[in-house]
Amino acid sequence: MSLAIFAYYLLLAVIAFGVFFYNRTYNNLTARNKELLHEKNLIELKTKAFSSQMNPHFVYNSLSAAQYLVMINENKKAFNYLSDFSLLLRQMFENAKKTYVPLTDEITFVKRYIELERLRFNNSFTYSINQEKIDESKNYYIPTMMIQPIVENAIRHGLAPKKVDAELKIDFETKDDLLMIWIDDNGIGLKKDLQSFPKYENSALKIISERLRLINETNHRNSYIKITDKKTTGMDGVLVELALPVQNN
Amino acid sequence: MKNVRAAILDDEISNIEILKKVLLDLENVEVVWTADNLDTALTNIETERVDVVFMDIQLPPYTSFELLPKITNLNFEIVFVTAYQEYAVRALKMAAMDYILKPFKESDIIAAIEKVRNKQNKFGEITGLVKNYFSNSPENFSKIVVHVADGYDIVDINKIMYIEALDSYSKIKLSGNQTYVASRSLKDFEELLTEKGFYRVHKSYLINVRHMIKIVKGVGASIIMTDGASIPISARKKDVFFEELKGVISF
Repeated sequence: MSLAIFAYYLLLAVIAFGVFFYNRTYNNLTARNKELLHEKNLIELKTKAFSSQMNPHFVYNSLSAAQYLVMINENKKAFNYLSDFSLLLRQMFENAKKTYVPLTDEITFVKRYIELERLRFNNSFTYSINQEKIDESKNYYIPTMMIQPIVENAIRHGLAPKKVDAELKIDFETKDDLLMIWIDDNGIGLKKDLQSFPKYENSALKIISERLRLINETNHRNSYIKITDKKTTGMDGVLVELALPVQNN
Repeated sequence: MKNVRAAILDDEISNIEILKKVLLDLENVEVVWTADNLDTALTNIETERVDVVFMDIQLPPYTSFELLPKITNLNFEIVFVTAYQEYAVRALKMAAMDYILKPFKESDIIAAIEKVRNKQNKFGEITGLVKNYFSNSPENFSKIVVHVADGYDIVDINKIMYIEALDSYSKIKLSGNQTYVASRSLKDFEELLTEKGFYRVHKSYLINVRHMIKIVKGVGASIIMTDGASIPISARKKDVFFEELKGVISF
């Protein structure tokens, strides 16, 4: 009799142990799964940030511009142009290693880029950067190389072909854990036929939205990019609204 | 050394200037026009004959590939100058003579100009007619002589498929895909070759009737040649041409 009771308790113990062990393993595995997914997302984010480094053609075109300055004997201008260009390259290579960079650095980077392009396009467009609505008490970090490709599209496909009264406006505003950026140009607008876009410029915007999707998935954010052809509101140009996740550091 | 008339199409003034300077430093090279957009380029192409156009590909919101189909008389060579290497294959399919990557080297431009110059020499002048050896009459010729880079080509007129007008020039198309450009007008050739079985079916085309294989009737009537080329028949000449053909065809 006592043997039966003993066997009964032994069976209960084995089951309890089994359930406990199963649960522990299951929880561990699930946690590990989540961890792996998170890691995978992080790796992807890093790769994507890396692949969204600057348009290689910008490099070639800038060097052509430097050749021009040398050729017309504007040696000092050529010298300064190459110095600024080197700074921009250096910052790009530095940033490519990081996923988040200080907002102020990124703004300097974009400004430097715009100045170089203005030189290249004979000052054919003006620009303004409005940062008043950024909470300066905080030290914001944003994902790198999100703004420049959009600005590049605005200049190359909107403002440069327009040639007169071309204007670029960039506005920043912080909203909770998001940084709102509006990149607003009055250029020639979106061309219907995106086929004629070179592969690179097409994919730059794709990479940005893909990166934002990964960030949203990994960090539970609501970042987004929205592109509006202002023709629909009776105006010229393109407005890009970018909501970037920010980190306080 | 033969003079080369060049033109430049690029949306960036600085690129135009730099290329212009390199070209003008070369001997016997003229820069006839420059344009920073497709419309200006098209107007210039139609009014000023050049030997070569150096063109950028990316001209937002267009590409220069969109320009090419609009050109009715592609009577010049194209050299693409671009920072984008991914277009190379397409450019070559469009029969570009050369493809130069930016930032370019002076020697790239020199090589391109040399190619244009050499091709010009090869597309030489029709310098004479070869008399039929079995007759003393100069009207009885069966061959023409073409001045080429390394001498003279003697061309059997039976091998001429058709001759196409290019402004004051003419393009002679032979069977076997060989081509000459001659600095004689199509009218000159018409006078020379009508008696040899050639017929002016269109203001821009003089065809060798021996090489016709099909006549396509209809609103846009045309003639298919043995090499597959489709030559339009002008509406004005259509009826006369068909009438004359009837005289030859017997049932």
